[in-house]
Amino acid sequence: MMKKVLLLIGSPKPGKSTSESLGQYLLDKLQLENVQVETLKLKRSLEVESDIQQLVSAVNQCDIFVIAAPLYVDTPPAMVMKAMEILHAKRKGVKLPEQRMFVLCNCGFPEAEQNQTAIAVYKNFARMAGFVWAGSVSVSAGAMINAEPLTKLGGMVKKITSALDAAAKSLASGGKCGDINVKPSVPGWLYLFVGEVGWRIQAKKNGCRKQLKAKPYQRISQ
Amino acid sequence: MKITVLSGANHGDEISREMLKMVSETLAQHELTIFNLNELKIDACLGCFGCWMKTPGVCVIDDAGRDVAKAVVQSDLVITLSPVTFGGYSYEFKKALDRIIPIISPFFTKIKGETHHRRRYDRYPSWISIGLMDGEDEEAAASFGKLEERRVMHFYCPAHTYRVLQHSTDGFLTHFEELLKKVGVA
Repeated sequence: MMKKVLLLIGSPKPGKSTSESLGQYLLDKLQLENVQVETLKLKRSLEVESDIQQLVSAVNQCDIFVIAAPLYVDTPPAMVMKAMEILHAKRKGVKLPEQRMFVLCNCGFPEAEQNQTAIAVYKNFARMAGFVWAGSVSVSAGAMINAEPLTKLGGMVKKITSALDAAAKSLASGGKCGDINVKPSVPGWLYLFVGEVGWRIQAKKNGCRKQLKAKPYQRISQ
Repeated sequence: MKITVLSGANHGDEISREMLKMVSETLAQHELTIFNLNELKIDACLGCFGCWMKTPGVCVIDDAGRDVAKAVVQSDLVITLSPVTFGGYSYEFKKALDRIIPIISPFFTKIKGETHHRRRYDRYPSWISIGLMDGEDEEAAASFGKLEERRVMHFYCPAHTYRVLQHSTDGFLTHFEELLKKVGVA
Protein backbone atom coordinates (compact mmCIF):
# COMPACT_ATOMS: atom_id res chain seq x y z
CA MET A 1 0.00 0.00 0.00
CA MET A 2 1.25 3.50 -0.82
CA LYS A 3 2.85 5.26 2.14
CA LYS A 4 1.32 8.54 3.21
CA VAL A 5 3.29 11.56 4.40
CA LEU A 6 1.78 14.49 6.26
CA LEU A 7 3.75 17.74 6.18
CA LEU A 8 2.83 20.11 8.99
CA ILE A 9 4.11 23.62 8.24
CA GLY A 10 4.95 25.10 11.63
CA SER A 11 5.88 28.61 10.53
CA PRO A 12 3.62 31.28 12.08
CA LYS A 13 3.94 33.49 8.98
CA PRO A 14 0.55 33.89 7.33
CA GLY A 15 1.86 33.52 3.76
CA LYS A 16 4.79 31.63 2.28
CA SER A 17 7.72 30.67 4.49
CA THR A 18 11.15 29.08 4.34
CA SER A 19 9.67 26.15 6.27
CA GLU A 20 7.15 25.66 3.47
CA SER A 21 9.89 25.92 0.83
CA LEU A 22 11.86 23.15 2.54
CA GLY A 23 8.80 21.01 3.21
CA GLN A 24 7.39 21.36 -0.29
CA TYR A 25 10.70 20.37 -1.89
CA LEU A 26 10.82 17.23 0.27
CA LEU A 27 7.21 16.38 -0.58
CA ASP A 28 7.83 16.81 -4.32
CA LYS A 29 10.73 14.38 -4.06
CA LEU A 30 8.65 11.92 -2.04
CA GLN A 31 5.91 12.00 -4.68
CA LEU A 32 8.52 10.90 -7.24
CA GLU A 33 9.16 7.93 -4.94
CA ASN A 34 5.50 6.97 -5.15
CA VAL A 35 4.53 8.35 -1.75
CA GLN A 36 1.15 10.00 -1.16
CA VAL A 37 1.53 13.47 0.36
CA GLU A 38 -0.65 15.91 2.27
CA THR A 39 0.14 19.38 3.63
CA LEU A 40 -1.39 21.06 6.66
CA LYS A 41 -0.52 24.60 7.70
CA LEU A 42 -0.53 25.05 11.45
CA LYS A 43 -3.25 27.49 12.44
CA ARG A 44 -2.65 30.60 14.57
CA SER A 45 -4.99 29.16 17.19
CA LEU A 46 -5.82 25.61 18.21
CA GLU A 47 -8.75 26.31 20.52
CA VAL A 48 -11.68 25.23 18.33
CA GLU A 49 -12.42 21.50 18.60
CA SER A 50 -12.83 21.07 14.83
CA ASP A 51 -9.31 22.48 14.23
CA ILE A 52 -7.88 20.17 16.88
CA GLN A 53 -9.67 17.17 15.38
CA GLN A 54 -8.43 18.03 11.90
CA LEU A 55 -4.84 18.08 13.16
CA VAL A 56 -5.10 14.91 15.24
CA SER A 57 -6.91 12.99 12.52
CA ALA A 58 -4.43 14.01 9.82
CA VAL A 59 -1.45 13.06 11.99
CA ASN A 60 -2.93 9.74 13.13
CA GLN A 61 -3.67 8.68 9.56
CA CYS A 62 -0.21 9.23 8.10
CA ASP A 63 2.74 6.86 7.94
CA ILE A 64 5.37 9.58 8.15
CA PHE A 65 4.77 12.79 10.09
CA VAL A 66 7.00 15.65 8.92
CA ILE A 67 7.19 18.94 10.77
CA ALA A 68 8.87 21.86 9.01
CA ALA A 69 9.38 24.83 11.31
CA PRO A 70 11.75 27.66 12.16
CA LEU A 71 13.92 27.89 15.24
CA TYR A 72 12.68 30.46 17.76
CA VAL A 73 14.87 30.96 20.84
CA ASP A 74 16.51 27.54 20.44
CA THR A 75 13.20 25.68 20.36
CA PRO A 76 10.14 25.10 18.18
CA PRO A 77 7.78 28.08 17.86
CA ALA A 78 5.01 28.32 20.45
CA MET A 79 2.22 27.04 18.19
CA VAL A 80 4.28 23.98 17.26
CA MET A 81 4.66 23.30 21.00
CA LYS A 82 0.87 23.69 21.32
CA ALA A 83 0.29 21.22 18.47
CA MET A 84 2.66 18.70 20.04
CA GLU A 85 1.02 19.09 23.47
CA ILE A 86 -2.36 18.37 21.89
CA LEU A 87 -1.11 15.42 19.86
CA HIS A 88 0.64 13.91 22.88
CA ALA A 89 -2.51 14.20 25.00
CA LYS A 90 -4.86 12.87 22.29
CA ARG A 91 -2.64 9.93 21.36
CA LYS A 92 -2.26 8.59 24.92
CA GLY A 93 -3.61 5.08 25.10
CA VAL A 94 -4.62 5.05 21.42
CA LYS A 95 -3.40 2.02 19.53
CA LEU A 96 -1.89 3.16 16.23
CA PRO A 97 0.20 1.41 13.57
CA GLU A 98 3.91 2.30 13.44
CA GLN A 99 4.44 5.90 12.39
CA ARG A 100 7.73 7.66 11.76
CA MET A 101 8.55 11.29 12.40
CA PHE A 102 10.93 13.55 10.51
CA VAL A 103 11.75 17.20 11.09
CA LEU A 104 12.97 20.05 8.92
CA CYS A 105 14.29 22.82 11.15
CA ASN A 106 15.65 26.14 9.88
CA CYS A 107 17.38 29.03 11.59
CA GLY A 108 18.71 32.38 10.55
CA PHE A 109 22.18 31.81 11.99
CA PRO A 110 25.05 30.47 9.90
CA GLU A 111 25.55 27.57 12.31
CA ALA A 112 23.10 24.75 11.59
CA GLU A 113 24.10 23.12 14.90
CA GLN A 114 22.08 25.79 16.70
CA ASN A 115 18.97 23.87 15.61
CA GLN A 116 19.95 20.84 17.71
CA THR A 117 18.29 21.97 20.94
CA ALA A 118 15.00 22.13 19.01
CA ILE A 119 15.70 18.75 17.41
CA ALA A 120 16.11 17.34 20.95
CA VAL A 121 12.64 18.67 21.84
CA TYR A 122 11.14 17.11 18.69
CA LYS A 123 12.88 13.81 19.48
CA ASN A 124 11.49 13.78 23.00
CA PHE A 125 8.03 14.47 21.59
CA ALA A 126 8.40 11.62 19.08
CA ARG A 127 9.44 9.25 21.86
CA MET A 128 6.62 10.30 24.18
CA ALA A 129 3.89 10.42 21.50
CA GLY A 130 4.67 7.05 19.98
CA PHE A 131 6.59 7.91 16.80
CA VAL A 132 9.75 6.24 15.54
CA TRP A 133 12.37 8.94 14.94
CA ALA A 134 13.32 8.94 11.26
CA GLY A 135 15.79 11.81 11.36
CA SER A 136 16.03 15.48 10.61
CA VAL A 137 17.60 18.04 8.33
CA SER A 138 18.64 21.29 10.00
CA VAL A 139 19.23 24.25 7.74
CA SER A 140 21.27 27.33 8.55
CA ALA A 141 21.23 30.80 6.99
CA GLY A 142 17.53 30.45 6.32
CA ALA A 143 17.22 34.05 5.15
CA MET A 144 18.96 33.01 1.91
CA ILE A 145 15.90 30.94 1.02
CA ASN A 146 13.51 33.73 1.96
CA ALA A 147 10.38 31.62 1.31
CA GLU A 148 11.28 31.02 -2.35
CA PRO A 149 10.83 27.56 -3.90
CA LEU A 150 14.17 25.75 -3.66
CA THR A 151 14.00 24.82 -7.36
CA LYS A 152 14.34 28.52 -8.23
CA LEU A 153 17.46 29.12 -6.13
CA GLY A 154 20.00 27.07 -8.05
CA GLY A 155 23.45 26.31 -6.70
CA MET A 156 22.96 28.49 -3.66
CA VAL A 157 20.85 25.72 -2.06
CA LYS A 158 22.69 22.72 -3.52
CA LYS A 159 23.78 21.49 -0.10
CA ILE A 160 20.18 21.69 1.15
CA THR A 161 18.62 19.98 -1.85
CA SER A 162 21.23 17.20 -1.72
CA ALA A 163 20.37 16.54 1.90
CA LEU A 164 16.63 16.59 1.15
CA ASP A 165 17.06 14.30 -1.89
CA ALA A 166 18.82 11.76 0.31
CA ALA A 167 16.20 12.16 3.05
CA ALA A 168 13.36 11.57 0.58
CA LYS A 169 14.93 8.35 -0.69
CA SER A 170 15.58 7.17 2.85
CA LEU A 171 12.05 7.96 4.07
CA ALA A 172 10.41 6.37 1.02
CA SER A 173 12.35 3.14 1.52
CA GLY A 174 11.46 2.91 5.21
CA GLY A 175 14.87 3.93 6.51
CA LYS A 176 16.26 6.65 8.77
CA CYS A 177 18.46 9.47 7.62
CA GLY A 178 20.14 10.59 10.85
CA ASP A 179 20.21 14.19 12.09
CA ILE A 180 21.86 16.22 9.36
CA ASN A 181 23.16 19.78 9.76
CA VAL A 182 23.47 21.65 6.47
CA LYS A 183 26.11 24.39 6.37
CA PRO A 184 25.45 27.55 4.34
CA SER A 185 26.83 27.76 0.83
CA VAL A 186 28.50 31.11 1.56
CA PRO A 187 30.97 31.98 4.34
CA GLY A 188 29.22 32.83 7.60
CA TRP A 189 30.77 36.29 7.83
CA LEU A 190 29.44 37.19 4.35
CA TYR A 191 25.95 35.95 5.15
CA LEU A 192 25.88 38.02 8.35
CA PHE A 193 27.24 41.10 6.61
CA VAL A 194 24.58 40.92 3.90
CA GLY A 195 21.96 40.18 6.55
CA GLU A 196 22.77 43.31 8.54
CA VAL A 197 22.74 45.42 5.38
CA GLY A 198 19.32 43.92 4.71
CA TRP A 199 18.07 44.92 8.17
CA ARG A 200 19.13 48.52 7.51
CA ILE A 201 17.50 48.62 4.07
CA GLN A 202 14.27 47.20 5.45
CA ALA A 203 14.26 49.62 8.36
CA LYS A 204 14.79 52.54 5.97
CA LYS A 205 11.81 51.40 3.87
CA ASN A 206 9.75 51.31 7.06
CA GLY A 207 10.91 54.78 8.08
CA CYS A 208 12.70 53.63 11.24
CA ARG A 209 16.35 53.42 10.15
CA LYS A 210 17.43 55.88 12.84
CA GLN A 211 15.45 54.03 15.54
CA LEU A 212 17.03 50.63 14.95
CA LYS A 213 18.89 50.78 18.25
CA ALA A 214 15.95 52.24 20.19
CA LYS A 215 15.55 51.30 23.84
CA PRO A 216 11.84 51.91 24.42
CA TYR A 217 11.80 49.99 27.72
CA GLN A 218 14.91 51.60 29.16
CA ARG A 219 14.60 51.68 32.93
CA ILE A 220 14.86 55.26 34.10
CA SER A 221 17.10 54.40 37.03
CA GLN A 222 19.56 52.45 34.77
CA MET B 1 14.86 44.69 43.95
CA LYS B 2 12.57 44.58 40.90
CA ILE B 3 11.57 40.99 40.23
CA THR B 4 9.39 39.59 37.44
CA VAL B 5 7.88 36.15 37.87
CA LEU B 6 6.54 34.25 34.85
CA SER B 7 4.52 31.10 35.25
CA GLY B 8 4.05 29.00 32.13
CA ALA B 9 1.71 26.56 33.88
CA ASN B 10 -1.21 25.08 31.98
CA HIS B 11 -4.82 25.94 32.76
CA GLY B 12 -6.09 24.29 35.93
CA ASP B 13 -2.63 23.64 37.39
CA GLU B 14 -3.32 24.35 41.05
CA ILE B 15 0.10 23.11 42.19
CA SER B 16 1.85 25.78 40.10
CA ARG B 17 -0.59 28.38 41.39
CA GLU B 18 0.40 27.40 44.92
CA MET B 19 4.09 27.65 43.96
CA LEU B 20 3.48 31.17 42.66
CA LYS B 21 1.95 32.05 46.00
CA MET B 22 4.99 30.63 47.82
CA VAL B 23 7.34 32.63 45.57
CA SER B 24 5.30 35.75 46.14
CA GLU B 25 5.36 35.33 49.94
CA THR B 26 9.09 34.58 49.99
CA LEU B 27 9.84 37.73 48.00
CA ALA B 28 7.25 39.99 49.65
CA GLN B 29 9.82 42.64 50.52
CA HIS B 30 10.74 43.13 46.86
CA GLU B 31 8.94 44.92 44.03
CA LEU B 32 7.21 41.96 42.39
CA THR B 33 5.42 41.69 39.05
CA ILE B 34 3.75 38.34 38.53
CA PHE B 35 2.48 37.01 35.21
CA ASN B 36 0.38 33.85 35.34
CA LEU B 37 0.68 33.50 31.60
CA ASN B 38 -2.28 31.21 30.94
CA GLU B 39 -4.58 33.96 32.26
CA LEU B 40 -3.29 36.56 29.82
CA LYS B 41 -4.02 37.34 26.19
CA ILE B 42 -0.68 36.78 24.51
CA ASP B 43 -0.74 35.92 20.81
CA ALA B 44 1.99 33.75 19.37
CA CYS B 45 4.86 35.51 17.62
CA LEU B 46 4.13 36.22 13.94
CA GLY B 47 7.73 35.86 12.82
CA CYS B 48 7.36 39.21 11.04
CA PHE B 49 10.52 40.91 12.40
CA GLY B 50 8.37 43.99 13.04
CA CYS B 51 9.95 44.28 16.51
CA TRP B 52 13.25 44.90 14.74
CA MET B 53 12.26 46.51 11.43
CA LYS B 54 9.04 48.45 12.01
CA THR B 55 8.71 49.38 15.68
CA PRO B 56 12.24 48.67 16.96
CA GLY B 57 12.18 47.24 20.46
CA VAL B 58 8.40 46.84 20.61
CA CYS B 59 6.31 43.95 19.29
CA VAL B 60 3.75 44.92 16.63
CA ILE B 61 1.09 42.90 18.48
CA ASP B 62 -0.52 45.05 21.15
CA ASP B 63 -1.32 42.65 23.99
CA ALA B 64 0.15 41.41 27.26
CA GLY B 65 3.21 40.09 25.40
CA ARG B 66 4.48 43.68 25.35
CA ASP B 67 3.96 43.98 29.11
CA VAL B 68 6.00 40.84 29.72
CA ALA B 69 8.91 42.04 27.55
CA LYS B 70 8.92 45.42 29.28
CA ALA B 71 8.78 43.90 32.75
CA VAL B 72 11.58 41.45 31.96
CA VAL B 73 14.05 44.03 30.72
CA GLN B 74 13.23 46.46 33.52
CA SER B 75 13.80 43.84 36.24
CA ASP B 76 16.86 42.95 38.28
CA LEU B 77 15.76 39.33 38.44
CA VAL B 78 13.39 37.15 36.43
CA ILE B 79 12.01 33.92 37.89
CA THR B 80 10.31 31.50 35.53
CA LEU B 81 8.36 28.34 36.16
CA SER B 82 7.50 26.11 33.25
CA PRO B 83 6.35 22.54 32.89
CA VAL B 84 9.20 20.66 31.20
CA THR B 85 7.46 19.89 27.91
CA PHE B 86 9.26 17.36 25.71
CA GLY B 87 12.43 18.70 27.29
CA GLY B 88 11.53 22.25 26.37
CA TYR B 89 9.10 24.89 27.53
CA SER B 90 5.32 24.74 27.74
CA TYR B 91 3.27 26.45 25.02
CA GLU B 92 2.15 29.12 27.52
CA PHE B 93 5.73 29.93 28.48
CA LYS B 94 7.10 29.66 24.95
CA LYS B 95 4.52 32.15 23.66
CA ALA B 96 5.80 34.72 26.12
CA LEU B 97 9.44 33.83 25.49
CA ASP B 98 9.09 34.26 21.71
CA ARG B 99 7.53 37.67 22.36
CA ILE B 100 10.50 38.80 24.46
CA ILE B 101 12.71 38.92 21.35
CA PRO B 102 12.20 42.70 20.90
CA ILE B 103 14.52 43.27 23.87
CA ILE B 104 17.53 42.09 21.88
CA SER B 105 19.03 43.60 18.74
CA PRO B 106 18.71 42.27 15.18
CA PHE B 107 22.46 42.77 14.75
CA PHE B 108 24.92 39.99 15.31
CA THR B 109 27.86 39.22 17.52
CA LYS B 110 29.93 36.16 18.34
CA ILE B 111 29.84 34.46 21.71
CA LYS B 112 32.32 31.59 22.10
CA GLY B 113 32.64 31.47 18.30
CA GLU B 114 28.89 31.16 17.72
CA THR B 115 26.56 33.78 16.21
CA HIS B 116 24.10 35.47 18.54
CA HIS B 117 22.06 38.63 18.50
CA ARG B 118 23.57 41.66 20.18
CA ARG B 119 22.17 43.22 23.29
CA ARG B 120 19.77 46.12 22.85
CA TYR B 121 20.03 47.33 26.43
CA ASP B 122 22.99 47.97 28.68
CA ARG B 123 21.70 45.73 31.42
CA TYR B 124 19.59 42.61 31.58
CA PRO B 125 18.12 40.74 34.54
CA SER B 126 19.57 37.74 36.29
CA TRP B 127 17.44 34.67 35.80
CA ILE B 128 16.19 31.72 37.83
CA SER B 129 14.52 29.07 35.70
CA ILE B 130 12.51 26.26 37.29
CA GLY B 131 11.39 23.35 35.15
CA LEU B 132 8.61 21.22 36.61
CA MET B 133 8.16 17.54 35.81
CA ASP B 134 5.70 14.85 36.76
CA GLY B 135 7.79 11.73 37.26
CA GLU B 136 11.29 11.09 35.93
CA ASP B 137 12.57 11.57 32.40
CA GLU B 138 16.34 11.94 32.22
CA GLU B 139 16.41 12.80 28.54
CA ALA B 140 13.79 15.52 28.90
CA ALA B 141 15.54 16.95 31.99
CA ALA B 142 18.87 16.97 30.14
CA SER B 143 17.30 18.73 27.13
CA PHE B 144 15.84 21.37 29.42
CA GLY B 145 19.22 21.93 31.05
CA LYS B 146 20.95 22.42 27.68
CA LEU B 147 18.25 24.87 26.65
CA GLU B 148 18.73 26.91 29.78
CA GLU B 149 22.51 27.04 29.37
CA ARG B 150 21.96 28.53 25.92
CA ARG B 151 18.99 30.79 26.70
CA VAL B 152 20.87 32.81 29.29
CA MET B 153 23.41 33.72 26.59
CA HIS B 154 20.64 35.15 24.39
CA PHE B 155 19.37 37.38 27.17
CA TYR B 156 22.76 38.36 28.58
CA CYS B 157 21.88 37.26 32.10
CA PRO B 158 24.59 38.45 34.52
CA ALA B 159 23.74 35.65 37.00
CA HIS B 160 21.59 32.64 36.30
CA THR B 161 20.66 29.23 37.54
CA TYR B 162 18.12 26.56 36.72
CA ARG B 163 16.75 23.45 38.32
CA VAL B 164 14.36 20.72 37.24
CA LEU B 165 12.01 19.86 40.09
CA GLN B 166 9.13 17.53 40.65
CA HIS B 167 5.77 19.16 40.05
CA SER B 168 4.96 19.26 43.76
CA THR B 169 4.96 21.83 46.53
CA ASP B 170 6.82 19.35 48.80
CA GLY B 171 10.31 20.72 49.29
CA PHE B 172 9.73 23.49 46.73
CA LEU B 173 10.54 26.31 49.13
CA THR B 174 13.86 24.74 50.13
CA HIS B 175 14.91 24.46 46.47
CA PHE B 176 13.67 27.97 45.74
CA GLU B 177 15.65 29.51 48.59
CA GLU B 178 18.80 27.69 47.37
CA LEU B 179 18.26 29.08 43.88
CA LEU B 180 17.85 32.61 45.23
CA LYS B 181 21.18 32.29 47.08
CA LYS B 182 22.87 31.10 43.87
CA VAL B 183 21.98 34.35 42.08
CA GLY B 184 22.87 36.44 45.11
CA VAL B 185 19.41 37.21 46.46
CA ALA B 186 19.27 36.91 50.25
